[in-house]
Amino acid sequence: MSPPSSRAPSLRAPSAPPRRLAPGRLAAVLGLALAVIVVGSLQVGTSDLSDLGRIGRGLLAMLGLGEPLAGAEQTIVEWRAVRVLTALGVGAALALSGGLLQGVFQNDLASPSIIGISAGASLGASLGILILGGYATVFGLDAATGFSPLLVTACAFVFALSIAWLVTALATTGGRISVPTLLLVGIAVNATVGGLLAAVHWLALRDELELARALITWTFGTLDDRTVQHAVLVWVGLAGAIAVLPLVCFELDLFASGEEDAHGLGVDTRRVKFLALSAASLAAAAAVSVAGQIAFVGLIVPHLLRLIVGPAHRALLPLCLLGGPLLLLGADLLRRVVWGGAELQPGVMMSLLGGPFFLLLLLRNRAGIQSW
Amino acid sequence: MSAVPLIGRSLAHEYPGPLRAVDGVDLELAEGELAAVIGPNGAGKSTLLKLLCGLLTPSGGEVLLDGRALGKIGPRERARRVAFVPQALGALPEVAVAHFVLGGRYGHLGRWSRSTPHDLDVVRVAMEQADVAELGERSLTRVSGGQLQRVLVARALAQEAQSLLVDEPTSSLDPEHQLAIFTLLARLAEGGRSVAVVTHDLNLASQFASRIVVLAAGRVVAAGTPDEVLRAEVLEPVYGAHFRYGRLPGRGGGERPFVLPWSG
Repeated sequence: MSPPSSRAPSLRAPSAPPRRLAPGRLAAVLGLALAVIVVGSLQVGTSDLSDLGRIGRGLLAMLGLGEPLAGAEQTIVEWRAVRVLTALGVGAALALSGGLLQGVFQNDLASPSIIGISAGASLGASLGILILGGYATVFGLDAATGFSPLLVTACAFVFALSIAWLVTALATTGGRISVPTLLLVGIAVNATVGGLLAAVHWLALRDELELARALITWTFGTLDDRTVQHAVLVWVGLAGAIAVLPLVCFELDLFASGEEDAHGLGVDTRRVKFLALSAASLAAAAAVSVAGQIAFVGLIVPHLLRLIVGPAHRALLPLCLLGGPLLLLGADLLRRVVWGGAELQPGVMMSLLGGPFFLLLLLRNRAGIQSW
Repeated sequence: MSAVPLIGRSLAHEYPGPLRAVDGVDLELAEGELAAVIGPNGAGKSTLLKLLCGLLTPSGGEVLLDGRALGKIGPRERARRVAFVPQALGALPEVAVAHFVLGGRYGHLGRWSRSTPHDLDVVRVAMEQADVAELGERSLTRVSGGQLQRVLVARALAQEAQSLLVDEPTSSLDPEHQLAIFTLLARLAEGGRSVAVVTHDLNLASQFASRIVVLAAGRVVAAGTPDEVLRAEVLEPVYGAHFRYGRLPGRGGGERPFVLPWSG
């Protein structure tokens, strides 16, 4: 046999049509844009603290290197740094979750918010807060007292994963996932979970305003008042999801021609689905449990990236880790520059952006959807 | 006597609903054999192939791959031993044809799915054999139906499996490529592979197959050489159509039967 030519295709770097941008180049562009937005996010705010030197010193002091800044400035720097760190993790986790789900379900319309995973995580987090936040005795759990973000995240994850499996099981007939059924089940799950959430909130609102405030946060996504613990939590959840990527990236590429086809090629499709759905649920749960429901990041980012670099998950999923934070933090920065920190939370911003985007996606694919 | 790597015993399968798609089929696929599976629409031909390659789990009976129960063999090893060429794909991914064919190497790849120069070489040879070498850079969404069928064959060849199960590979090919695909399958069988091909083309089956298996309502109703099967007594109870029968010189000397659906 003759040696392979230099133009031979590679599994790791598929030969893409020429109009596509090389993933490395796009990563550089996104990374640069993200760096600019991170710096901007550290500078912009209601308090005047835009001197990069002082911000840098404040950040070093935060890490225990050097003297802290005078007065309230150190607090402001730390507050903004935590906010940025949380936003980076939340954006990355949501986009990665969406990218994984779109791969498993072989459909661009899938995302954690649309098929109900985010709502499930939100319900889990709310119940977690209720049970662990003083309501334990109501449920007969005397030992579980005190608020613990880790346990809230764990509750969010269990619920997110349960919803992911429920939705997948309901939308699967004869070993095949039906996308229309998936989306309809998503609607039903979102409505049901929404009702349950409202019931939980109403019950809590009646008795305790403090608790109700904490619960409301989970419904309208926010990046305000986050602590280091929150930032760490979302990054740990995200790291868990990232660890799964080498085991599913190429396999999800093979899913693109249908699950049965992938199975025929030797893919353990059940294992890949389990790993990818778990990772997607973990990432979504981590994001939702620290920042509440922020819709559409998981829909928009993987979709746009796929248009630019093509469908190979080995490029697509890592790029989601840059694209997600870029969208979330970029929109957040824009909001603060334009409205000067008005009460327009990131969750609201994303819904305003994402809703029309979803409609646009439906319109573009109208012909294909009508044949479902 | 040649080895028999793939054996189906008393295979049965039911889809939701009252009908049994496959109902007690025995089939042995020997090394160096090209078996054609024919039968009317809905006879269970595709279901039988999917049972034999593990895409469907039989509700009765068992499949033995190299003497081992198919269900006990892991998916990657299974893909190295038996390759399936589907009639069509669930969806067409927007990837380059060469990358798609490389998917056939999945069962051979290591833990992190990294391809080696050998994998790329196998892909190149497979694409040449299936006559799709010139399509390597093209997106799979931009190939014709006939080209896609040859790409699917190329991908199965890249699996380098002993047994090759092919589901209607010529349904959207022009006569030239129909002959080319069957010539390729026959050559693979002559090289020692075990090939089973589902087809509606009785004459391609006659020319190239060493054995023809006739399936009707999920059961094997006849099996044998083209001369034994392509006869009015066998075909007309199954197809209910009237055929004209004749003989023509075949590949490698000797005559082969042909049949022509002819009304009136």
